[in-house]
Amino acid sequence: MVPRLESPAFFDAHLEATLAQARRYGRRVALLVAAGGPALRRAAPALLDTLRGSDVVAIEGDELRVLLPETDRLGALLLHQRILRLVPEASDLRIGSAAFPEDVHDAQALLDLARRRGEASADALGPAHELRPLGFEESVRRVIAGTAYARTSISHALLRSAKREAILELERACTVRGIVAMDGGPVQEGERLWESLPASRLAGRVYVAQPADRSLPPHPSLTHVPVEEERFGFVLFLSGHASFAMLRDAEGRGALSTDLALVCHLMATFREAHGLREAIA
Amino acid sequence: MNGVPSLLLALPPKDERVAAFLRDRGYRIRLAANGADALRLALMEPPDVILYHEDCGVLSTEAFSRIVRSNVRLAQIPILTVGPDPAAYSLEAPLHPEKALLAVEAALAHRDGRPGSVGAEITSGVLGPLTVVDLLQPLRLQRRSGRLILRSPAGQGVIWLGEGEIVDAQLGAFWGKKALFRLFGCTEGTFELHPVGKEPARRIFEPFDFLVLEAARQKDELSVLLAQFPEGKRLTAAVDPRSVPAKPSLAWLLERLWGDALTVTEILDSLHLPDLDVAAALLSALRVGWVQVAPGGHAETGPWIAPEARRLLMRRLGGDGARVSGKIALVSDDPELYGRMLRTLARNARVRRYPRNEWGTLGTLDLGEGVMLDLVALPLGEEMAPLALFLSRGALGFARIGSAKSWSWLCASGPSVDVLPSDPVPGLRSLLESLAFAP
Repeated sequence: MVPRLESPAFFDAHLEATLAQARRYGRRVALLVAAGGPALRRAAPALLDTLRGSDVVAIEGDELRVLLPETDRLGALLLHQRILRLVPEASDLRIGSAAFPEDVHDAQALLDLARRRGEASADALGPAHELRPLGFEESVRRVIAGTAYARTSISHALLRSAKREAILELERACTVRGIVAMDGGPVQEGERLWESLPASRLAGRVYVAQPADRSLPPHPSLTHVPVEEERFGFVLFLSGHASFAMLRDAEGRGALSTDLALVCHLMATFREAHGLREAIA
Repeated sequence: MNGVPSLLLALPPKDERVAAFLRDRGYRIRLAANGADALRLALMEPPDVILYHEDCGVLSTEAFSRIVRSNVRLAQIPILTVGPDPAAYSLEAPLHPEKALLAVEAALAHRDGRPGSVGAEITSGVLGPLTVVDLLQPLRLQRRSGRLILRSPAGQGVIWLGEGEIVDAQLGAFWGKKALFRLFGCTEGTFELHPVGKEPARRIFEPFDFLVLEAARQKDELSVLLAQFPEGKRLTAAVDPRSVPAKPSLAWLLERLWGDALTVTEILDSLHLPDLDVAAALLSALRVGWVQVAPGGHAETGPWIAPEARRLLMRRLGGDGARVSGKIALVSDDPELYGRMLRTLARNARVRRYPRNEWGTLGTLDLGEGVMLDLVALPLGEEMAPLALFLSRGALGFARIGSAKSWSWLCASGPSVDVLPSDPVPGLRSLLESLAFAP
């Protein structure tokens, strides 16, 4: 499936109409903007391949706009990450996104915010930029060993408490959804963690990486990701309003960060490493 | 069956969510693009069960089944077919994930030699004419494995049987015997009895008959004990748990109540021992004076917020209608004050406290009409700043408890009020009002 490529005039009218529908029927819409002159022309064909058949695209000057129906801020962030991983030329682009109703409520504000975010991400290429070619485990190893992020010693109990809070954050989320990825941790810590698991369905999915012979409590929002060995302790949280990573190696050294680019990268590589490409809602 | 059961699915794109659903339930999934691909994958590594959709392409269900049955390696593999006619196919299209799961479990149970009317087939119904023990008896008598899922006013629970013996139970956050004895007491709700998917690690080791008699005994004795507690009062520890020699269950109880005030029901819910053990320990502690009725237990039971302010807050929080939740961040230069404030608040009937947490979500305010606000304490220290920032994201406002100079960098990002740890209610009420009426 390829996205619909439309003229800028049609795109603007369609964006207004889609937003009006979303306001009327309580739906979600996201807008992604990629800008970058010659780099855009090089990246555009491959970039279009990463989109869905339901997306609507317009190119005006050196700017490509993508209207993502029924998509929230988290979905737009995940698409942004997918583009960066699948389209090498996209690293030279200024890509930003904004969503209704999480960010702003009218078409021009949506476009302006997406552009501003694109400019900001290009101006502040953080340390996560250097991790982009690496897989999940190597990225975690580099973050813990490096000096770019806040480093501290992290106990099993601290990590468990952070996992609990990440899960409770999904329980609280009424209007935004999120994803949590974590390791199962030592058996006793896992059992204490599940004691505080809310019985209700969460606003998102929790992926728990642990050996196949360990079980999880039956819960509609938990997914068991079988792994051969738990080399790191970690919890990653990503939603439309917050991002967080806590990483711990076997010696108890660790790192914490709220860097959106880092969390997006770790979440994307974790999902890719374990084939978790299904819908997350 | 060894390890995780493997399923081969040949589904049209519109039904591929079933693959994700089954993977979530612990099965190893291989997804074929079409009928020919399914044959190739089956020959490469024979699966435990094949789920084959008529619309998956290239081969019809009949042709696929004929080819599989003619192959010696594959002939015994159960094939679940999906199509429009329920009389001609195992499952009816459009495919429902729950029905697919039940059919897969039944097929695996049948393949593993657990035939019969109960276990291989799903039995469901309403509790009332049959008790929970009645429902388990057929599995018990035939020494079979299975699981009973109960949905009752007490919550959703599961009892697992392995070869006729109860191996584990779960009810909400409770596992093992505490959950089992509560589930045995369920008289209302619905049930589903079906073959075990993934058997959990064994937590219950007593024989079935003993457990049934023990549950009945505990239920009777518990009702006698509960009648002896002062009705509707909150209880608190009267002595420091470190200063009295007590057996572990009693020491844990005193620790739980030290500086806290809970109702008997909350105390039973907060400990993982069976309810009778908790109630017996609590009553003996009450009699010797180690536990007492909390003074001023009903000092603050009024509503947190006026109805019109609550509705404004609901609109601001959004939500799915049934439950609306948000959070208030607690900040202080002295983390000890978090606990002190929550202990004072816990005397209010509309506050739930999580006393085992030192930071993070320490309590929940019930504002009524399904509006719940969590009180989230931020951890102190420069190295914990990213964690504090994460926990504060999305907070409606900040409550500064005592001195909070080290949090000025964060409190500027939202409305904040000063709250006295010894009398937090006025401060929190003022914050809620300001949040509700904020432009």
